[in-house]
Formats: sequence, structure tokens, C-alpha cells
Amino acid sequence: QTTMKISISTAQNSHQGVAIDTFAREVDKRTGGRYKVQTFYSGSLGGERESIEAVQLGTQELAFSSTGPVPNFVPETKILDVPFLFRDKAHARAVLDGPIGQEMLGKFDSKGFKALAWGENGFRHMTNSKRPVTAPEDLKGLKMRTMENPVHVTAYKGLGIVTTPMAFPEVFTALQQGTVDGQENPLSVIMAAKFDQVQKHLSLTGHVYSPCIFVMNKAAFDKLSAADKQAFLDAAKEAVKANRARVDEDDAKGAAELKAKGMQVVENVDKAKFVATLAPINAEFEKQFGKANMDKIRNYK
Amino acid sequence: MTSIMVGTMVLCFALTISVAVSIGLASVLGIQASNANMLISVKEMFGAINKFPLAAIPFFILAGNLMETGGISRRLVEFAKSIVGGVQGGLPMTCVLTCMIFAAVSGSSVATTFAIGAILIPALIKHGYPTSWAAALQATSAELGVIIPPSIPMILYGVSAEVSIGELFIAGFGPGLLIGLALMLFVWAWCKWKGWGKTDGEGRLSFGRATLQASWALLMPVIILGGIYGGVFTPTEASAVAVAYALVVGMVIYREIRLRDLYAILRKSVISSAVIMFIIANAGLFAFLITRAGVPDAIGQWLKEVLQTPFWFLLGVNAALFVIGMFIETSAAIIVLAPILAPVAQHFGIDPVHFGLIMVVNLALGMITPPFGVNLFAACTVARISLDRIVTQLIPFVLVVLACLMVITYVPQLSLGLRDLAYAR
Amino acid sequence: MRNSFLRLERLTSGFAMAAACAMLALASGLGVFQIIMRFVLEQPAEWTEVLIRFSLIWMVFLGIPMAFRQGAMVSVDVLYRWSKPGMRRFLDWMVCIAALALMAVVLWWGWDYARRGEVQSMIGLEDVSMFWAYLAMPVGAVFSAIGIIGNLLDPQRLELETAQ
Ligand code: NA
Ligand code: NA
Repeated sequence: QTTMKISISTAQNSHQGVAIDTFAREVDKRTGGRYKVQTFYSGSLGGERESIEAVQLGTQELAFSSTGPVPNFVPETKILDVPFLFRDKAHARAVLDGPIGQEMLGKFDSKGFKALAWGENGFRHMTNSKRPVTAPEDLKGLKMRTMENPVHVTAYKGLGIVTTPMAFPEVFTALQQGTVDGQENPLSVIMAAKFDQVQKHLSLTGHVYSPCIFVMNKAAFDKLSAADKQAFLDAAKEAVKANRARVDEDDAKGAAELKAKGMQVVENVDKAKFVATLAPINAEFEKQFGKANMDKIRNYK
Repeated sequence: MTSIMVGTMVLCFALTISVAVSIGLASVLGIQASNANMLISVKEMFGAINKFPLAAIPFFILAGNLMETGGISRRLVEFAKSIVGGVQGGLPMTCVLTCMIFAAVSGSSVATTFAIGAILIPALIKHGYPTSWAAALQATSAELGVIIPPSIPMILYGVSAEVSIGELFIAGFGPGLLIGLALMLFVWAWCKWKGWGKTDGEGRLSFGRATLQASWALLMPVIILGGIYGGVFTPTEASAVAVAYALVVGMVIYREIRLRDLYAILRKSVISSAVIMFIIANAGLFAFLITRAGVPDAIGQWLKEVLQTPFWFLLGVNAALFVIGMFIETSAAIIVLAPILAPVAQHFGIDPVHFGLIMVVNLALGMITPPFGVNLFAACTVARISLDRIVTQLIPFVLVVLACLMVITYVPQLSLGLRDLAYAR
Repeated sequence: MRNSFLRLERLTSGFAMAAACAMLALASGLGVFQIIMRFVLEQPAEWTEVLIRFSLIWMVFLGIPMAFRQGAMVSVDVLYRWSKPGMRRFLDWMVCIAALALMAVVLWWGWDYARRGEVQSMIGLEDVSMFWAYLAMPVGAVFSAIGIIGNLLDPQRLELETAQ
């Protein structure tokens, strides 16, 4: 029996926890118990960047993570961070499960990873303590904590946001004291971090789609027999199903739950206006990533 | 693997090998024994100190050194003396009160020991107090440095247990005041009993003069706390503000720091910070390995099964932490234990912020319990006496803090009252 | 031999120390700069936080050589204080060998880690590879090894004065 380790940065009871629990169960079932996947939650083995790096180095076999730090390892994935690239979850899932997404998974091979499958972290939404945000004008001058992701930063600046990088452990206090006005994350993260206690307004902007990814150390994967390789890939597929179902569930009740906790929720965001405001920035992105590549994703059916 | 690691560590400690190297070597052997990839050693050492909130450690140490050289610490002492210094035993009370004020600026107890002790221990000796008692008093009072916010151990707990640092800070005021007042009451009574300090009140400034003289020094806690709670900067960034403020006041206003003093101040700060951060790096590696081996989960399960009720859990944890605190450095203990114990505490319905205060106060006590207590080392250095002489004088001080710890443990409102008020729960 | 080594050691430890001081000064300055950029100018910079973190890590690994050199590493020294000179010399050797062993690991694997970090860009400073951050470990290990041997040849125990 071989034991492998997998880790996530969120709690066991989360969309990512469901993913790795399912994965561990499926691997066990599909390999007749010859492979055991040991699960670690809540970043106990390190944050997302550390886990992905651990898989690359081979100090840990597997990780499931949002794609936040992934472009620093595989720059080709940067294109996925472009705002309003995907119409909705169905579109995003179809792209990632289709030839475009599969080709991108192949890009991980040369960096020491075997990317098993795309999962989902959810669409990112904005919260703030100042005013309801329905259109880009409302964002002017809002100090918003963002990830230190160049694509995000460029786009958000284009929307008039004062992008503010900040270590995650400091965000809660910073939101509370008004050091920053707002932040943006998927609903699951907003709820887990209890941002509803310190933020008044939630806008379902869905401005960026945030995928997750199953990564495995390339050498560890290559050591598997052909049948076991298939078993791991299939297990990841099953895990992604569970993961996406949980995201759907969180999305369905998330807004209501946050409303019940006292947040003012703007559901009808003028997305067309956001896209129009971002046009000049998008032209830049098209230059950087290739207009053809972006159109291929946008027009994927 | 875990037994190899713990065994190696204890043996290395006994051989007077430094704490950081002992923990690091034990971890390296642990990796070797479990046939894991040795890259883990450097990866986790780096990862353990690659956290922005930890920047507060070197910054607070630097700020403390700037305040000492720049005359801020001395003026704070005069100010405290003008308030409580008039009675018999007024000087030791001044020591406690100065530490309380200084604690509102500094996040480190040892920084507090050096900054205040450098002035008050010689003064206490001059007024006829036994050297060993003065050192014990200073070491104990400086503990408040990590209990009254800002506080490095609280930041570490917040990061490790994923608890809001701002809430922890607010929750520290109640316990900090309790311990400060208890210590003042204790030294006053002790001096009455021993007949010490009858001349303490002589030569002190009037409250007005002292306040005027110390106005720039007194503005510092206001700026730091005001800045954090006013949303100007984060608790971590506050440490950088402390550096800038101490530098400007010391150089431009008091003119007690000359340009050529700066390199010596930086040097001293670098060595202190590097030593403590290197311990944290190695402790982080150690913690990673035992987490990976599933030890924390096992301990957590064991505590849950053995200690059935919140009452016994808290008593058991306090006893365990007290013993651990005798041997292990506060920061290292928090990094290793907070992720293990906080979830169990939550399982018992204990608020993670309250539990954080219990851990911080208990492990702060570890800074003054031999054989390994950083405050003891620092206070002995300032007082120029050996460790064994301070120990007997310490016992009553430790008992006072232990009594306060029990109150803090079993009266959650003392910690949480202010937080609930501030966070409108 | 002993004296020429100690002369070299003075040079290397002094250099590492100066660099570490520069790193602390830089990090403190950046900390204040970060607040000014966000609160006063309302134009927060993405790169300050990452630079503060990494300059402080460099400070740590360039600062420990002098800490080793001066015997300033915090330790439990009950046994040392109770020992006679012969035993003390034995303990000095143990302390030296243990520290050198750890530094050998940090040097060998730290260099390997740094090389592997070349393919990873820094979050917040996308044009720089992680090599430059990880490099602090092997470089610090080399300086530390020299300082550790220096302390064996010419023992100092300044631990008490710098403990935090
Ligand atoms: Na403090
Ligand atoms: Na202790």
C-alpha cells in the first residue's frame, strides 16, 4: 500500500474539502486500496503557493488549490484571470473541460506537475463598507484589498478601484478599521472568513472566474501503472463533480445567508457597463494573450 | 519519527546547543528517519518566516532600541513615577506602570525588559532594593509587553489559529490591566511588609512637569493604537510606525540619538531579531513535521477524550502550557500548539479569542520560569547577576501571575467584554 | 593559521552584518512607505509587502552569522555554568559541530531549493524569480559556518545581552 498526501488551504467542510475527501475515497476504491490518499485541511501543511511548490518539488504528492498562485509557476494560465472572460459557470466549466482547458493542463507537464483536472473556486464578488456597487462608477476611489495578481490589478485599476495588496490574516481587521474599504472573493471565502461582520455591501459582480486545480507531482504520476493513472484521473473527475456541486449549493444559498446576516446584497449588477468600461484594458490583454486565444474562449460553445 | 525528534531536541538542549539549532537538527533527523525529501528542511524554514505579520518582530525590537537610546523610555519612567512613585514602594510600582505604558507601544516582552530595565533596575538598586528582587520584578512586569496590545505572540496565535488579530488585541486590555494592578498591589504590600522603599518618593517630578516632559513619549501609544483602530495602518505596519516615530523623536526632538549611533542600534536589533526569527524558522519546520505525521490530531483527540468538560480541559491545558513554557520559547510554543489546541477549545465551546489570551498569558509566564525564560536572561543581563540568584525571588511573582491566569481562564468576560463591546456582538 | 582565519572571519561576519543592517533599514523604510502610499497618496504599491518579507528573510540569514560568532544564540546553559573548564571545552565542540551540521543542510539543500525556485516568479514582483529570495539561505549558511568556526577558535558568550 502506498500513502500519498493531499492538502487544501480551506476547512474540511468546504467546496475544496469535499473535493479532496471524494478524491481520497475514489482513489481508494478504484485502486482496490493499494493507494491511500491522506488529507490535510486548513493550510496545516502550508498555504496555496507552498502546497503547489511542494508538489512541484515532490515533497508532497498532491494538492488541490485555487489557481491564485498558479501563474507564477505556469504563466500560460494567466489568461484565465481576465475579468468577464466567462459568461457563467456553465461556460467556464465547458471551456475548462473541453479542448482549451485540456491543452492548458498539458502545459503543467514541463514544470514538474501532472495536472489531473480543473475544479472550481467560484466567481469572485465584491464587498465593501461604503456603498452599494451596481455599476463601475460606484467603484471609483474604493480601497479594495486584492490579490497581488498583475491581471487583476491592471483590470481593477481600470475600473477606478484603488487596489491594495494585503496579507490575508490582516484583511479582517483592516476591513473593520477601514484601513481598506472592501475586498473581492468567492462567496464561500467571504462566508468562511466572516467578512459579513465587517462589510455592509455585497455586489454579485462575478467579475473573475476562479478555477481550482488538482495537481500531482509529475514523477509520482509517471510511476503509476497505466491503469492506476486512469484511476487517479477518474477519481479527480469524480472529485470535481462533487466540488462543483458544492459551489452551486454555496452560491444558491450564499447570497441569502449573507443577506440574513445583515449584508445589503446587490444582485442586478450592470455587467455590460463593466465590460464596456474595461474595453481599453481588454485591448491590452488581447495584445498580451493574443486576441485569437481570448476569442476562442469567449466564443466557446 | 516524533520520538527521535523530541529525543534529539532534549539531548541538544542539555548539551547547551542553541535552541534554534537543537530544533533544526532534530527536524533534520526526523526527515531522515522518515525517508522524506530533505528539501522539506529549507522549504519549511523559509515558509515559517515568509509571513508578513512576522515583520513586526524586527520592527518592534528596532523601535525598542531607538526608544532606549533616544530618551523616550527614560521620560516614560519619570511620568509613571510622578503618578505612583509617591508612596512607600513607589519605585517598584513605577516599574510596573512604566511597563504597562511601554507595553502599549511594544509587542515584545524582551524589548520591554531592556528598555525599562536599563533605567529602573539601577534606580531600584540605588534605593536599596535587593538586586535579585529588582531583576525578578522587572522580568515579571515586562511580561505585560505581550499581554497589553500590540503583541507579537498574539499575532503569531492569530496567524496560526486563524483568529482576528484585532480582536485578540482588544481582548488583551482586560487581562493586562488585571495583571498590572495585581502586581502593583503586590509590590506595595511586599514593600510595607519588608519595610523597603521608604524614600522612593524623593526627587520625583510633579505630575504636570513629568507629563509635559514626557509628552512626545506619551503621544507614541496614542499614535500607534489610534492608527490601528483609526484604520491608518494594520497592526503589523504599526511596528514600522513605531520605528519611524522613535527615530524622529530621538533624533530631531530630543536630539539624543546621533547619526553615528544608528549603526550600533541597527546592529543590536539585527542580532536580536535574527536570533528570534531563526528560532521561529526552525520551530516552523519542527511544527510542519509533526503536523504532517498527524501528531496534533492525535493530541487533540486525546485531549478531547481525556478532558471531558471545558473546566477540566482549561485546567489541563493550563497545566500543560505552564510546564511547556518552562522549557520552550513562547513564540515557538504558540506556533506549534495553537493550531492543535484552538480547534479543541472551540469544540468545547471556548471562544478562540479567549483561548488565545489564555495561551498568551500562560506562555508569557514561561518567559520568567526557569530554566528557559528569555525575560530572565534579559533581566539578569541588565542587573548583572546570575540566573540562579533570581529564581527564589521569582516565586511570589509567579504565584501572583498564576492567580491572575486562573481569573483570566475562568472569567471569559474579562477578555471578551471589551471585544464584544467594540465588535457589537 | 588560527589568526589568519579569525581575520578572514572578522571580514566576512562584519560584511554579513552590515548587509543585514541595510536590509533591516530598507524593510523599515518600506514599511513606512507602504503606509504613506496607501493612506496619504492612495496609490498602494503591490511590491512593498513582498520586498519587506524578503529583505527581512535576508536580514535573518545574514544576521545569524554574527549571532553564532558572538555566541548570542539563545540556549539552555545550566550544564555549561555548572561545568569545569574541560567539560566546557567539550560542550563548545558539541555546539560547534551541531551548528555546522545544520548549516551544511541549509547550504546544500538551500542551494538546491534556490535553483529549483528559478522557474517560479515572485507573487507581487512578477519579473523576479524566487531564486533571489531562497538564495538567502545558502549564502547565510556559508557566512554562518565561518562565524561558527570563529566562535570555536575564539569563544564569546554574549547570549544574555541580545536575547529577545
Ligand atoms: Na504590547
Ligand atoms: Na520558561
